[in-house]
Amino acid sequence: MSLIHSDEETGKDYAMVIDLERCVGCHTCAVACKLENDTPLGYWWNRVLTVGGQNVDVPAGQYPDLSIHYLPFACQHCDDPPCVKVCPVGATYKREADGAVVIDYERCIGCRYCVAACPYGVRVFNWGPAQRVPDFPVGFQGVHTDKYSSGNRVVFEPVRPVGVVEKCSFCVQRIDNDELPFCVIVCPARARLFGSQKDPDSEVSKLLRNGFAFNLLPELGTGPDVFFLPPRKKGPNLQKVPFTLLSDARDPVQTDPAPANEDKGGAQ
Amino acid sequence: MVETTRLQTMSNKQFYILTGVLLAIVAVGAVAWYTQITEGLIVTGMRNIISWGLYISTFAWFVGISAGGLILSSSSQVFGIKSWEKISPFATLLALIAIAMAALSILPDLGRPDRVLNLFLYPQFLSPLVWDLFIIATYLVLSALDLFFMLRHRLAKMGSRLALIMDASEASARRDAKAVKVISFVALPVAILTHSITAWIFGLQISRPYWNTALLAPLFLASAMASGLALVLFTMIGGKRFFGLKVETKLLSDIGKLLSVIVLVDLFLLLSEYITTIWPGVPSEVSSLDVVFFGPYGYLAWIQWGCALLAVALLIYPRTRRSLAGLFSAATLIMFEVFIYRLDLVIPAYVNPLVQFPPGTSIGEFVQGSSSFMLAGSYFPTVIEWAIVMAILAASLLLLTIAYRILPLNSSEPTNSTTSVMGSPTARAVGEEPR
Repeated sequence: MSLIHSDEETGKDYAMVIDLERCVGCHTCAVACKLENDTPLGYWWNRVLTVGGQNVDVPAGQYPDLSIHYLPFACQHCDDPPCVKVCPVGATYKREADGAVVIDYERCIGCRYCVAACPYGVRVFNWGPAQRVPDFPVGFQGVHTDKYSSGNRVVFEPVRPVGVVEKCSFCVQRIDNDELPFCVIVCPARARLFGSQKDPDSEVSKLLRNGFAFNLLPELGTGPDVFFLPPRKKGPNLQKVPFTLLSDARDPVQTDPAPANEDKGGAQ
Repeated sequence: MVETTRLQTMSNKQFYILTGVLLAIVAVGAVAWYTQITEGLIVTGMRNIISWGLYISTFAWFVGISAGGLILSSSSQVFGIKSWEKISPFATLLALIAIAMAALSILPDLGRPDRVLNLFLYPQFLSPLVWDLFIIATYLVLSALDLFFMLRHRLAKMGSRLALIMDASEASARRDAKAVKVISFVALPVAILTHSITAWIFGLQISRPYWNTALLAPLFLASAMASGLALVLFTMIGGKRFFGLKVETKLLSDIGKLLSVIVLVDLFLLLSEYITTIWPGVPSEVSSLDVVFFGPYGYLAWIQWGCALLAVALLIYPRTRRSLAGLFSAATLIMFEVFIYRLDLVIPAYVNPLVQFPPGTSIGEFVQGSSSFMLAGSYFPTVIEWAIVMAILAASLLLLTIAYRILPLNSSEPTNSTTSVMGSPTARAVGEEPR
């Protein structure tokens, strides 16, 4: 039995749980995503954001009162995705079978309304011809050069056409072949977990049942299928992450309140 | 009774020079668009963080300026405002050209214009863009029909083939007048819906707090009517000055009065929006307004307010309101102000994404030695974008010039007013007849 599928399941509702306690900010998932999905230079479907100072890997505050957190960040695969609602041609859609939000690269007209509508800013438009080093497809199955279709919709191709929008698809080309998304596989700290919420025995279901998990921008009602587990030691800057901590149960003892000078270097 | 009512056009030479210049601008824009199609939208200033810019602003502006024409001519029918009826054909022509240009200015914004038919093959009816597509198509057809029925009798009297199979009898003229009336009753709500839906493209988005206000549709309606009436004034004064369009200064200054009220309503709505944002002090909302006034594009908001207030002053002060120069300046300022407002609506909304942490958004461009990420958006239109937008503007002027020349836009009814009537009553086209 793989992590994704279980025999009892009829349909799936994929979710990804990212444990911020485990994330070490190594950016392996971001780079692995580029490899797997052949995103060109300058295009990132998956990023690791630094919650702290003004730059990557820069903590907030002054020595010795420093704090830093990492926020792995890609498409949130919402239950009510604003991008799907606005797409005038139905090129981006949520798959009924498993809840992944994907893009039909053959249908997209490149109006970028979805980029305007996405509250998370995770969509990437193909502004010009792709630049790659090395300049050949390196992704899925190493030599994957074919278009990957799901229900007659081309939802993955190693080289997306210029003028269409692309983004994280939960590695649709992998999950349909019973493999985990590549960012989940490569994470050295095992911070990322992936599975179906409908399977009560999946790791994600168990973690979500605990009630610690939170979503980004929950007040917008988009209902993301990407969940985060809060870090045990919450630095004062964690509150800047636009989410509501659903539960402190994992860490009932609050950390000390932030010294006044800690906020100085905070992200805007 | 005046027989022919085509406008007194410029000489053939002037006409060809003007047409040639406009065609040249269109040609430059076509080359720019070809460059953009072959190289991708990388040639624009847009990137992932600010992914809509000049094209969408121009689109929203053209939708707006088309308002004046149809609302003016429809209201003259629906509310029986007789003095406006004379300028109705002209106003409707402006609406028709502007809405066609609005539809056109969406095309260069598309990454894949070759797939534009997907909009009709696979329309997704939850999308406000699809609503807009259908309402704009309706608006286009209605204003074309409206114009046709307004002018058909005049065309028939001139023996023009543009009148199609209809004759010049009084009976068919009455039928046409009835058709115009029916169209007007439909066109007025359609016009209002067009501007509301265009606003909802933006206003329904929870991702951009600056857009996400119920006031956006009323704001669009007010600014559309302001810029639309300003366009009517602008072109009528131009037509009166250069093409012998028959229109009284009194009527123009009356439109000026109405215009000042509409601009004030527009500004009132904006103020109402600001205070509703500032007083409660919800951080995400306040910061989005802060960007509008004090961010990198803050100058847009100040220019907008400056121009609007100056135009209102020109329209309220009696001496400038009664002079063609004053009215013309006010109209120009208002059209410009609304264009700035469209830019100011689109661009600052993108500057600060809701989730904004380093390294920022992946911009979608790789330049050796510089970051592929951006924490806060920056955008300025490139030469390509300006060239394409200028070409669309030139194309609208080209259509207007040709329409001036071939359509009988002057009222053929003898005017009952004794005030200054510009142009000779027997004004005829100097050029050849369009036979």
